[in-house]
Amino acid sequence: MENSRQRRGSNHNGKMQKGAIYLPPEILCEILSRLPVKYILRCRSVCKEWCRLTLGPQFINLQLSRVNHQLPQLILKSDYKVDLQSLLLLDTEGCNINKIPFKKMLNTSKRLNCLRLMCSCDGLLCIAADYLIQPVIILNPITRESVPLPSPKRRAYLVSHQIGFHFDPSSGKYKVVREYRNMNSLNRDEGSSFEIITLGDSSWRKLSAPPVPIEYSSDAAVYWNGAFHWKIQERNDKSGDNCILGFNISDEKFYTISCHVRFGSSEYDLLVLGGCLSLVEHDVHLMRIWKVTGTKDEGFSLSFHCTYDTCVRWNKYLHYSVICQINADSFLLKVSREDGENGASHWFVQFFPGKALYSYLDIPGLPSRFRGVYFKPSFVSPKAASLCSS
Amino acid sequence: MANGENQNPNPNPIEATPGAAARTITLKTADGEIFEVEEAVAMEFGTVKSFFEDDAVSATKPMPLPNVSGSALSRVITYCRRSLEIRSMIPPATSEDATAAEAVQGEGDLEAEKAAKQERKEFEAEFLKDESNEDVKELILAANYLNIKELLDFLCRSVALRIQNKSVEYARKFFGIEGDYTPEEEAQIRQEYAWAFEGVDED
Repeated sequence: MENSRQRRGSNHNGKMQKGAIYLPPEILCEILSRLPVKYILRCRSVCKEWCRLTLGPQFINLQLSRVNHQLPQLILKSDYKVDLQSLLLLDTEGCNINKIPFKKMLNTSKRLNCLRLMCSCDGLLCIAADYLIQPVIILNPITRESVPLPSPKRRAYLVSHQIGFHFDPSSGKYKVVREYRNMNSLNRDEGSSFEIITLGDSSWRKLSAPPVPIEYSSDAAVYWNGAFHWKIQERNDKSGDNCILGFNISDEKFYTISCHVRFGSSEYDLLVLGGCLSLVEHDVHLMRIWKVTGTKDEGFSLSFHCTYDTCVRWNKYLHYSVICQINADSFLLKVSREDGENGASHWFVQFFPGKALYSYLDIPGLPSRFRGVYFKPSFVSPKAASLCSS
Repeated sequence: MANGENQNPNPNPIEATPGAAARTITLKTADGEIFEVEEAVAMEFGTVKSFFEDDAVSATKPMPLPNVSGSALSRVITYCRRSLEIRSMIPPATSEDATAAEAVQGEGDLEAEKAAKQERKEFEAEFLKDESNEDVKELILAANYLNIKELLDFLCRSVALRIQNKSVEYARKFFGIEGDYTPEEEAQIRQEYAWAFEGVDED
């Protein structure tokens, strides 16, 4: 660390108040990068020097490295037409929501209500439609910068669209991988198609995956240990013992994870719990957790971890999905209740298996129907990410 | 700053062995004040550490610190002393046998860590309680010049907490900056990121 000038310095391009102690830019970065993004945005209006500072790549990387160590937030998009104007940044700790206007961020003329939040990485969101092959957009909701991915010329209607999006350290670029099934292909008993694109490339590349049937899901691919993962359909001769399909982001190779037990239940969540790729099986009132063990070299397999009694008889009208493990004692669940003609209602609860206790999270401004993804707000620029060469 | 890297030949620098004087290092501030500091504490200052490592200079000669005032140094020394004390509450684990140590780590060690964390929390809350914004900035500059990572980290965190959710005017006053936007330019920023300007605390 260098010497710093203590009294009014001529380094500061803006105006200093008389006799004020001047803090050098490196220290300003250290302080500002610790602020939540909301306040960093505010700081841009302090003076032009600060605005310049927070727009620089050094600051962006510093803030990103800090936010990676914090608890992730959730970003939500309402399923209701009226609320489509904003993305909602949810702070589960403080239980408050910030509404970020959404409409002006996208250059697309497509109706906003078909777009879903698929997944996110480094503060960039991947947005696409469940049933359309295009558009797919990479967006930073904080800086409001967006990059649409190249679209295939054909229009295709899909019955499945499970996207994964992550930074690939080996190439220094972001990659988007997707599984999809054409509505037409159902009749011909075709399996899923897989495609990949590196952010900045001009077209998608087809991938050839093992012929395992992928489970239908509205969730995104789960990124863990350098690979994307999808659930494999269980009650199918083609799947054999395999329950999870994995795809390495760096060498772009597929692999499967096997499980030697058949799940009886039809619903299960694939997600990362406590650093492990896990399957949470919903068996009426029981929540059974399976964890993936092993290594890339020796192979992975799924093994039983533990069972919790949720003390609720879940069914097709009232069901839940596990969002994350908040701490050693509790999980964050999203509960969904079918309301008949009115559609469904969603809300969050904190579930304590040890005490068989549910705590409803009262969040003012939470829409009654929404989809959300994990999110760590940053200032990373999707445009810059698509331009940089490895 | 790992305790394991401490090159001090005296294993218990704070509690001097009876009969022998603890090694001290003399520091001289910008305003001419002389401070005699225990070697262990002075070695927390990266600048001082490299000065003595490089030169093998006699420890009795006062090391000049032209960028630090007496009041700032005195507070810095208080912080580092206390920080060392708190760190010594946790039984050390050598980095090589880290996993073995963790396996063996019993409840006693976890309790000690917890207690240390709590003490640090209380101490840090108390440390900056009565400091004015100018004092905090002076401390930051001192910690930066003396290269004390832990203190600088703590101070930056504290400042971030102080200005968080305050108005833009507060931030300007704190850092002694005059805004140089035109009213139109400022209004444009506020409009573009309107959501970020909701819910500001009173100054």
